[in-house]
Amino acid sequence: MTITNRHLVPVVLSALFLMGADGASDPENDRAMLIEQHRQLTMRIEALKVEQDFLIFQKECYAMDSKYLVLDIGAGTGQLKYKNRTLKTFGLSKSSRVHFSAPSGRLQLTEKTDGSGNRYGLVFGKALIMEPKGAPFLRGGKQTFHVLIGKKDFMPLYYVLEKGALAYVKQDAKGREARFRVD
Amino acid sequence: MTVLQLCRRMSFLRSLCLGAAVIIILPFIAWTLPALAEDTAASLTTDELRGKVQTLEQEALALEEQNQGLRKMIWELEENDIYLVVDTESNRLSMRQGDKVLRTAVVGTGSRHFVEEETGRNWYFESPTGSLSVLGKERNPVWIRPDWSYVEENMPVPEENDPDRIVRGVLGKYALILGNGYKIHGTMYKDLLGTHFTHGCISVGDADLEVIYRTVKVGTKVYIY
Repeated sequence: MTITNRHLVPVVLSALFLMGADGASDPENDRAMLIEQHRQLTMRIEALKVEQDFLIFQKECYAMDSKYLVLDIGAGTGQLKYKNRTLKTFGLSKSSRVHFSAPSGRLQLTEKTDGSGNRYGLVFGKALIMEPKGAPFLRGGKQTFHVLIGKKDFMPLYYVLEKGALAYVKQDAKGREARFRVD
Repeated sequence: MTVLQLCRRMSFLRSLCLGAAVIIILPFIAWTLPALAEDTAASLTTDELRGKVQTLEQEALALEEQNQGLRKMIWELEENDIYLVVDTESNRLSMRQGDKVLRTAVVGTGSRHFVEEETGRNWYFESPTGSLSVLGKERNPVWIRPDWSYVEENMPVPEENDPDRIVRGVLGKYALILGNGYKIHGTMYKDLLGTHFTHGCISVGDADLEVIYRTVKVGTKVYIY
């Protein structure tokens, strides 16, 4: 069968007509799509930056000669680590007196309370205090996040970590905190 | 009212007005700024938005590449061999591989007691801490009684090579040598496992010791804290 101009013209015309029917050239749709793309990309970049921050922390710690902590507040677990080795895994929970979200990223141990009056605590600046469950509550700042750890797990951490030790608080999704066990 | 007083009053009024303005304007700015930031994308023209999306795509791609590189670097530093960890505070030993715990054992660690000889020589019985390695493995280890063992029992210290120093059967069936006289070995005092009772060695129950001995190799890392 031979294709003549008589056949070709209706085909081209209907193709041109149908091109407009998909709505792709609608400027409003274009714009909405771009705004959504913008939103998703911004979120993705934020997540990648958070991941990168932790990867850099890990890389640095693997080269260091001191023990450090990785706390996953959302999952309610923590790890005591030395270089690329996990020395201890422990459970943790946030204090019921705390009603704001946990800090995230790297922290540094600034103070170890001396244990007088059974007040043991690992103080990470104004951001976070780690303390044994059931012990008298240590006072921090208004925005100090309190993490509770079983006494048997806490004491080894208390003795092994030195002032200046690093901790990384992972918090990959806000919603994860809701699953957090509250004592 | 002098001119000076008038000027002072004017200056006071000006400060008052400025203060009031700051109090009114600051919360307004604080309230509107986040909203403005959220609307950044919406306030751009479609072409500007298209350009911005393109830039963000490139940024995301670059970050993904960087993270992939970092992940690879970290993966290369990871080790999948078995290692031992001893927690001298809670008297627990764990045999681990990566993040997996293969076995945990209740152990005995250094008593943290102090012994002093009349001559002034003294010993503090503490388990060594830090990063150590298994230097050797022994079956049916023999204990060569050190000087402190005699001092502790108010006995005269024999000569260095005195055969009386050789004691068999007190260290269990197996021992892992850590160096400087420290070992991971068995014990006759099984009731004391879980406490600080040793002279610095790590004492382990028979069943746990057998598994650990058979699993670890010379060179296995031992982390004591």
